[in-house]
Amino acid sequence: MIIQYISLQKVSSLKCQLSAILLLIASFSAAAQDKKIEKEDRISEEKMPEQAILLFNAEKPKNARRLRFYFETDGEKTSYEAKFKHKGYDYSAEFGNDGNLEDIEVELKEKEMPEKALQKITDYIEQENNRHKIEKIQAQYLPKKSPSEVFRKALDPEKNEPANYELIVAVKNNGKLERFEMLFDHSGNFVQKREIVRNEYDYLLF
Amino acid sequence: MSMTTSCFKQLLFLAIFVFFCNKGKAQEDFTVLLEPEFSLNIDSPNRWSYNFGLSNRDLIYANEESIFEVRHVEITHFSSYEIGFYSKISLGFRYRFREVFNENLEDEKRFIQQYGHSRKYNALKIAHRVRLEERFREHTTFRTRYEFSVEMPLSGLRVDQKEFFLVADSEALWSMGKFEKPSFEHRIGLSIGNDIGRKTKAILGLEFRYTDYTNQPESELFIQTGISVNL
Repeated sequence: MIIQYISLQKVSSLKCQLSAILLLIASFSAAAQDKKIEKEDRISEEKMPEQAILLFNAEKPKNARRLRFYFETDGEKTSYEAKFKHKGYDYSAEFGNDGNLEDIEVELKEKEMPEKALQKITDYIEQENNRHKIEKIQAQYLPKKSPSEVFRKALDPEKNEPANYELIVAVKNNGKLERFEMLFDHSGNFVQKREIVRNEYDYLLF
Repeated sequence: MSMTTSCFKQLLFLAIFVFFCNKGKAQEDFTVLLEPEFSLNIDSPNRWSYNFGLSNRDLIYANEESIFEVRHVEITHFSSYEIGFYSKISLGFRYRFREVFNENLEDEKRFIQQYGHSRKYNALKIAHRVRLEERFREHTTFRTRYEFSVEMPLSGLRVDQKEFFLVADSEALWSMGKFEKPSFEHRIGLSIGNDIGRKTKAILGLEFRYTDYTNQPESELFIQTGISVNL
């Protein structure tokens, strides 16, 4: 009976401690929230800027598949994206808040890239890092003349050279893994890079 | 996305189907347990990372009756070393306090060796986990287990702050020991989570465990809640 009483007491004190910890963490995480909140959401076609959807519907390929719209913000700048599949390629057309076309990106495999540009890019990455893995390549077409021209070019990526290549690259230096979004021009010259916040997987593994 | 959603639905139907089939067949062997957990994940600037966990297990339904019985409280630690681009090898230790809740039971000490592989494929996070465990209690048991899990954002293509995500997992376990028959167990889980802060996740899930299915099958349903903080 005494043992039972003690264990019950221990349990209830443990429970109190647990809830205290949970409360503490909830308030801590609420206070620690960043002012700049990044957000990306799937939206309906109606929520796209009017000019963007008019342009997109006029220029999109007739047999575009898996058509989806997204809204994105980094806390300051907002943009809209239309994603679709066409002839086996994954496309993403980005529009500004005003509905103007900003760029069209096409996902490519390494073997679909011009050899010279790819060689130059890999040379640069190899020179800068101990080890690397290219996770994603996108050819980026920019509206230099007219939006319809960008659509025409981007929809035939094998024939038309893009303005830039945007790569997601995982690199390892001194054993530590980092992930970057790197921008190279059409001939493979490095332009800029920014680090991507690491994905957290630990809760899936432990 | 539509493929993953339909895949998910199929998995969900399967889980519900298995759950009800079992419920009808062996009502008396069905138990419901509650398992709240708090975990802290610490990443260092080098290849090492560390995890600390505190959790407890309560029996809330057994023999067709609602009850409340604390089973154990446990603390867990893992030290992990990153290998390759997507893998980690880890060594873990778990101490399960049982004697304080039931004087007939011994506390359990457990050593864990783990290999984990996780990668993001567009919107999906996919993880594989292989574990070897040595469990020291009244008798010693060796256990091997493999888990496959998928995380899927519920809005857009990535999980942003305050957004919900789903996690589905399936795990196969094989236990053996000198004083027990080899036994097989399977676990299927489905949970919903939310990134409540930049570094904090809250998770609520159901896990269905079908234990010792080649010998004396029993069904257990776990209601799991978790808070996971990354530093």
